Amino acid sequence: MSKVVLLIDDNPIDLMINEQTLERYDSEIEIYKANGGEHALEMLKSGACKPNCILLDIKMPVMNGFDFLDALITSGMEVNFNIHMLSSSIDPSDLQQAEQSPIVKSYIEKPLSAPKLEKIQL
Amino acid sequence: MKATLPLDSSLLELLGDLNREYCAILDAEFNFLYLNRSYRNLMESMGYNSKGGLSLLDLFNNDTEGHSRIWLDAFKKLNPAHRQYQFSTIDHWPKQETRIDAEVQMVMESKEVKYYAIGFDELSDTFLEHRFNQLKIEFLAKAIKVQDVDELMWVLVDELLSKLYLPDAMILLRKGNVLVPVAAHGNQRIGKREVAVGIKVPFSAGITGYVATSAVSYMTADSRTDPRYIQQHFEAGSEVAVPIMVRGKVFGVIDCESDKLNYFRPIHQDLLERTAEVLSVRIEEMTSREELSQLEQRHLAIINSTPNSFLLFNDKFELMSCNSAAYRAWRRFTGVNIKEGRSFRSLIPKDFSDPFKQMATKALNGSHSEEYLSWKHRNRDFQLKINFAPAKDREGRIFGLTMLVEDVSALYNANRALRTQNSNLEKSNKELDQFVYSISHDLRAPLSSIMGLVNLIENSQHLPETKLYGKMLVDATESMDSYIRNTLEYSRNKRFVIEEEEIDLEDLIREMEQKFRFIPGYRELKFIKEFEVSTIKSDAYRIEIVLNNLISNAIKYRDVSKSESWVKLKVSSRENHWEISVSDNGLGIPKAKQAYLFDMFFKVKSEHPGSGLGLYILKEVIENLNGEIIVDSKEKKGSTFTLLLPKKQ
Repeated sequence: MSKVVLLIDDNPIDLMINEQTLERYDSEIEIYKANGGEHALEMLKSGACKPNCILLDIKMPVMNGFDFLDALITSGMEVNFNIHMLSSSIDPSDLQQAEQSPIVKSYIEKPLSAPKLEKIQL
Repeated sequence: MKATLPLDSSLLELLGDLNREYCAILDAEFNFLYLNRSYRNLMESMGYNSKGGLSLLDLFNNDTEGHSRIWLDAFKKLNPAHRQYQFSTIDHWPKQETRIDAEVQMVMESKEVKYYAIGFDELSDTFLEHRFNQLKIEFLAKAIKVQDVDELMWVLVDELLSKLYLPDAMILLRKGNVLVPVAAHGNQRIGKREVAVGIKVPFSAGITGYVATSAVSYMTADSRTDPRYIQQHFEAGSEVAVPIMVRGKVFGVIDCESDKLNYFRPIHQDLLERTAEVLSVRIEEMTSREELSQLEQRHLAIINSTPNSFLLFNDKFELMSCNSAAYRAWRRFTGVNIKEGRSFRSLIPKDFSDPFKQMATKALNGSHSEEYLSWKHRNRDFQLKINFAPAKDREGRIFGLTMLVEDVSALYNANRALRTQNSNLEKSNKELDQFVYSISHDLRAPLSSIMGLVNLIENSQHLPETKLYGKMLVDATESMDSYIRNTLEYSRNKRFVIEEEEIDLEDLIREMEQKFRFIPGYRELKFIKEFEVSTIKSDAYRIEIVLNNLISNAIKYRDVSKSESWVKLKVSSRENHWEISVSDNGLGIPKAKQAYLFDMFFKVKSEHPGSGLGLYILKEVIENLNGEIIVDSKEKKGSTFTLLLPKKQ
């Protein structure tokens, strides 16, 4: 079964980079893109996207990555996918917050690359 | 002696003036007119009938002992200028070798001698002893009124001469290594006080020096042959000197001299020693009183020099005493006038009477307490530190309590200011940390994009794709550049103090237009400028940041679908502020996003290049200038940002 990945990032360049990197890593992967937490929530709620995996940016306006995690938990939706934080932040408090979240699997520093994808085993 | 002498008042006065054990009045021819009882008895015991007319000249022809001769010799000393003469001599009445102190006076009437008065005291040991007791009583009575030591010495020499019939008396006090005469009377009783000035006797020289160093009294029968003698103010015959001891140390010397050899007897030495004792007791009293008052004064100086209030209450809570600061301070704190005797309750504001009473009661029970009270009087806030302590007497019994009031308002305020500053500092430290992480993220964000794009280009085989990546690289680089610039602006705004100056906005805009030219789209756009006023007073650097932000945003977010784009800058002056507005007919901001407009890293559309810091910095700058910014925007219609700048900072 092919994998479904949801990319959440407010920066269109990064979205594009992540998409391209994923495609080149595994052309079988089905990729969905959301330009913010709200957009992603909508996609998940409506069932428009049923991912195995989410790559989530942290620093986003209005609803940042952690806000998205909170909203996801409070929405009562079943979290049957892996969530990896994908951020350029090297703030230890961001790392810590990610580690403390029960639904976050790992923390990846941008930019995304094939070796990093290898490591997390989508 | 003539029948009865009418003792008129002037004669009575004369007798009283003599005040002698033995006295008599004679007429100009030396006939006895009156003899007092003692003299009469003496005459009779010597075999003379005092009741019959008796003349001194008769007596002179008969008395082999030379008693009458004493008087006749003494009369020779009298003249109209000196009508009184006092002397000491040795008589042979009533027995051999009697020392007497004698006095003769002459009363004149129209240049003629009318009466002679004679009188003498027999200086027997018993008599002198009796006189010494009088001396003691009178000296002590007078000494009580005397506070000065030198003055006291004069009182004593007067007494010594008049009571003990000493021919001469001098008191020398120790001043460092010398003895200095402070009071002296010569061998004649005189009313005037004079000391032979300039005499300083070395502490170890002469008889006085010997007495001062040895601390024992000394008497010599013939001072001329005495090796210790040094000549003083006359050729001495005999001398007696006693030390005045105060607290075990030689304080001074009482020195008496006579031109007669063998004048002094052991009784003199004895009485002088006892006189010195009486004197030293008095001096000790005076010095200890002086020391006590010095101590009191020092303590007073200490408690009056402090700005803190000291108040002492008795066990009935009545004010006993307070220092001088208390009068002023208490009025300032409470408006109440402090008065001794006032009750504790009447001095304390009602709201505070409970805690005060508690502390005061504790103090009476022997414990100390300290309390900080905030209190208001006449719209002034006071922070007072109040200490209560028991007041104890020498035996340690509590007789009342002391209250120490310290105004710590200044300290309190400084402390509070310091705490606020500290918390601000902590806050800005936290902000700084936050800021550093944000910077690192936001510098890394475009950089990681660049790295990602470079990875893609590396593995790309298609030229069009690569070109797209190249365009993206430029955007990411620009974004990073603008981020770095904004960071610098943000930091400068935070750190630099506001420098007000006159700014010509027309000039400033003209300069800025040179930079706007490089913003894509500027050439297609109409820039309208309306200056009601051109010159404002503000911080030029910050005003430039604000205008640059607003105008470049208006250029960047123009609506390209419209046939004509314009930006309008309008500067006008109101009563209390300047109004600078930047309007455009650009894209406008959706209502939902307007609330986030000034948040850090907010971008209306995420695909917009830039740092998301521009308007955040703008808001910070305007806050710094105490200004205000108002946004009025409609999507697809355009936006107006209006800046209000107060004319007075």
